[in-house]
Amino acid sequence: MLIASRFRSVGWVFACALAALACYLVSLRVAAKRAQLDGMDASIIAAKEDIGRLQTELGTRSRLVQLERWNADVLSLQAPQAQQYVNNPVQLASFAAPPPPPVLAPVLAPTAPPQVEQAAAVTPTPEPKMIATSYSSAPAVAAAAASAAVVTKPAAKKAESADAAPAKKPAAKKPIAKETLADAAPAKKKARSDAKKDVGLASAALAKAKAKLAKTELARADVKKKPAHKTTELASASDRAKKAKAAKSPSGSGTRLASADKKKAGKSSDTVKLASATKKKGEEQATLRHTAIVKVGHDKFGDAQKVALLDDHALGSIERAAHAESMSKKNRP
Amino acid sequence: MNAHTAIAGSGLAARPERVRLAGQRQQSVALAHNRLMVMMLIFLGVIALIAGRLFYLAIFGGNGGAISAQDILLPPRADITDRNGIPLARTIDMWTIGIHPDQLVNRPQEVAAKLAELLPERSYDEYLAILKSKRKFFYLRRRAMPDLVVKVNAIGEPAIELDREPQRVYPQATLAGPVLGWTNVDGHGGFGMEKVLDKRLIDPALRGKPVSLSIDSRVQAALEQELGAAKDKFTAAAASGLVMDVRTGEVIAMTSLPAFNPNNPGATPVDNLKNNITQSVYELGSTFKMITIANAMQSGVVTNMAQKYDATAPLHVGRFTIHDEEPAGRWLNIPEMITKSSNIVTARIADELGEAREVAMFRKLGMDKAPEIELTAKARPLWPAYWGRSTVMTVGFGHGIAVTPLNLALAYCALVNGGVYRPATLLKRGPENPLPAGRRVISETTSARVRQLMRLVVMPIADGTGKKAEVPGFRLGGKTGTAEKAQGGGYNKKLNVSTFAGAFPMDNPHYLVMMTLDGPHATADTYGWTTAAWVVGPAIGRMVARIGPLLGVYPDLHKDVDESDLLPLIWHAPVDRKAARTTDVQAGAAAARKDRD
Repeated sequence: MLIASRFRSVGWVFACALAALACYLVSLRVAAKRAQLDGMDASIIAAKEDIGRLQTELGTRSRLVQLERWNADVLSLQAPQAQQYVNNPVQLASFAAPPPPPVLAPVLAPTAPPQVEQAAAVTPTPEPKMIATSYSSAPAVAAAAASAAVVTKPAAKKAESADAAPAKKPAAKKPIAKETLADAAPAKKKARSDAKKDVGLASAALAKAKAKLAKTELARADVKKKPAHKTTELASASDRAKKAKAAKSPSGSGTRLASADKKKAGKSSDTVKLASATKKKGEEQATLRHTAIVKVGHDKFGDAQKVALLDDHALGSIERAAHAESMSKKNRP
Repeated sequence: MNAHTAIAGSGLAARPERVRLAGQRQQSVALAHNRLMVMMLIFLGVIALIAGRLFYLAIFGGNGGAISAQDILLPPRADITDRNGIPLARTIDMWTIGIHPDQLVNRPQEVAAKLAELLPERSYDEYLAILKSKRKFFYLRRRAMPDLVVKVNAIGEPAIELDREPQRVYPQATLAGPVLGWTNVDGHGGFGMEKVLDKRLIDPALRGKPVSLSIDSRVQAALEQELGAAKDKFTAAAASGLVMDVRTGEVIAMTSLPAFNPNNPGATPVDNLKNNITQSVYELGSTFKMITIANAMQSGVVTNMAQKYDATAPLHVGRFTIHDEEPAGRWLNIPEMITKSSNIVTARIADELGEAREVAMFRKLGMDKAPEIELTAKARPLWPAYWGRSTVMTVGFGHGIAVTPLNLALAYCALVNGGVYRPATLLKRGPENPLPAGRRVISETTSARVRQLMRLVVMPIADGTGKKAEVPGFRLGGKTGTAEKAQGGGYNKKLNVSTFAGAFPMDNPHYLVMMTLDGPHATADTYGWTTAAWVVGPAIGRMVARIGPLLGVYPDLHKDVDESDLLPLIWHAPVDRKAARTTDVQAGAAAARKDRD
């Protein structure tokens, strides 16, 4: 007790020293933080100065006076005219008026010689440029392209075996409904792989759209499986099968078509039937593509009005994917 | 000495001496105590002061007068930017090459030869003279490029000093040179906004924050390019151009040609180191007619646009004869007077107005004093000393009074913005530079009528003198003005000062545009004329087409000022079939004769 009372003062001194030390440590830490902040401020200012120096150099090199001189003397640029400005969305929309529907000359012209059909067969792919010119014109163009592809299929075969292959089976003999049923699952896979390979668009949105397109085709195939829900696709397929049969028979053979003078009437009726069937299919495909494009637009821009902003690449790429798919089916034994 | 005398005399004087000594001791002890106390208090005070300061520093974190990083790293002068933040003037560290001739180690001849090779702005002899001068220091090159610094360093002369010094740089070179001005060697502003803002730019508390001018670099570049092209084409002696916001008084672009580079103002002749917009006064001619007609409408002298005035013959007033460049030979109403720019009719209206009302209007529009703007280099207008009847009449159409282009621009802003006069500013409007209330000069109704008349001058269907400035869709309105150039106490009849002042879009005016060519010369495509209609009008049109979209004014062919009440008042001469059969050149020459203003 006595010792404790004697050392009390020492204790106080120690406690005071400890408290002072603690205070000093706190203040030291605060000072260190302040120094850090100052350092950070300094580095920020230094960075700003560097940026300023670089901006000055860039500004000097690309000074407006120099650019003006180039624009006026070298490039001869002029201010745009009043007609080049769009003042409201209505005026903008007026530029997107649909062009007149394309004439299906190779299909609908009953008097067209077989050479015209063959010539059409050489270019079965729709021109991406035509599709891209107007969003609203896509269904019509796609319909024309699809009809051309299907109609000219036997014609292409005819062209290949022009003189010595009457016995050779035309590819169109195979019923399309069956083909679609058989190829539904691979089509989905292919669409997915296409989506991966498509570097032109480089967009996940488009890949998604392709997958959706494949899905819709798959769904369509499923629908076709059910006899109670046979769609016009099946009807068109049967039409096509009928046509193929007719083509195979002596009355509808390629030679007969080649010498079509006498049987113009019969041939033309066949062609018109074929045209109506293929047109239906084409329209349906185009509608599906249309839906896909709209979805892409929604996914990409979140605004239905901006769907029109889909560029040529996007539309062309979707068309190309669909065409590649149809070609792969065509080439399948 | 006194004590000893007392002891020697009586021997009884010892006690009082001791008592006095004891009292003295007490006093001195008390004094010492007092002094010690004072000393102690002083020490305590000093200690308290130090403790208080320490306490303050600990609590409030002051830096105790230490130099902060900002002080070291921030440039000594703040940047100047345009209204969009594009830097127009900056201070950056650049290499400086100097020499101490008194500390030269190598032979002066060798060093001078190498310097003359690397820095060719001086000859060998000049360098030799500098090196032998024994001066303490001499600047050889400021703003030196790094590769040059490396080469100079390779000379190996210890007396050569290479250092980095803050230098004022104008990245856009000549762009807005007369507005920005320059800084002197000591780093202080010498001209333009550098001079106006000198205190603000070097203020330690504010130098980290750039000053935003009201200038728009893009518009400035377009103005300089179009005005420069017009000046070169017509080989004018000088030119000036202005774009202003009529609602706020902000100067969007201001240029004066010949231009100078503020990076090196010494390379430009002294006569060209000026801003014609504020420092040159001109008789701006027919552009004053708009002020006169606005005054007449506001004063009730003109109450009807169909009011007709005799313009059949020249008007004789004292020794003056007032005539029209293209005599109409008939009575003209107000729209015709404006579109044909009739001096005779304007003089008659000014005569009716009288001196008091005319002077009052000019004073309201600030025509009697230097233009109101921050710039310090300003000229006062040449205000008539005597306002006789002839002066009143001639001043009405812009002769006999010389003002700066900015004076006229400020007046036009007030005429078209609804009638409120506001001073011009080169600083961006905002919390630091709020919009002043201004003062009403004319009524809203008069302003609307003035806008109609100004649009009529440019509208092609009205066949006014300003139709060459028309840009479809931009609804430009304005007035041309051509005056003979004052020279040697008289007028040079061969040289003009051609001006166009206008605003757009006239249905809701936002921007004033103005160009003045001083002494343009005719070209083949102007059929020998140097009037504003021919030399300035097309340049204004091209500029408006360029700057309109930049300023948010887009052309619209479906909008225009309602001129339905004025257009029927303009009489057009029947088509001359004979003239219609003439060639294009003849037709152009005939048209040129018409547009003489």
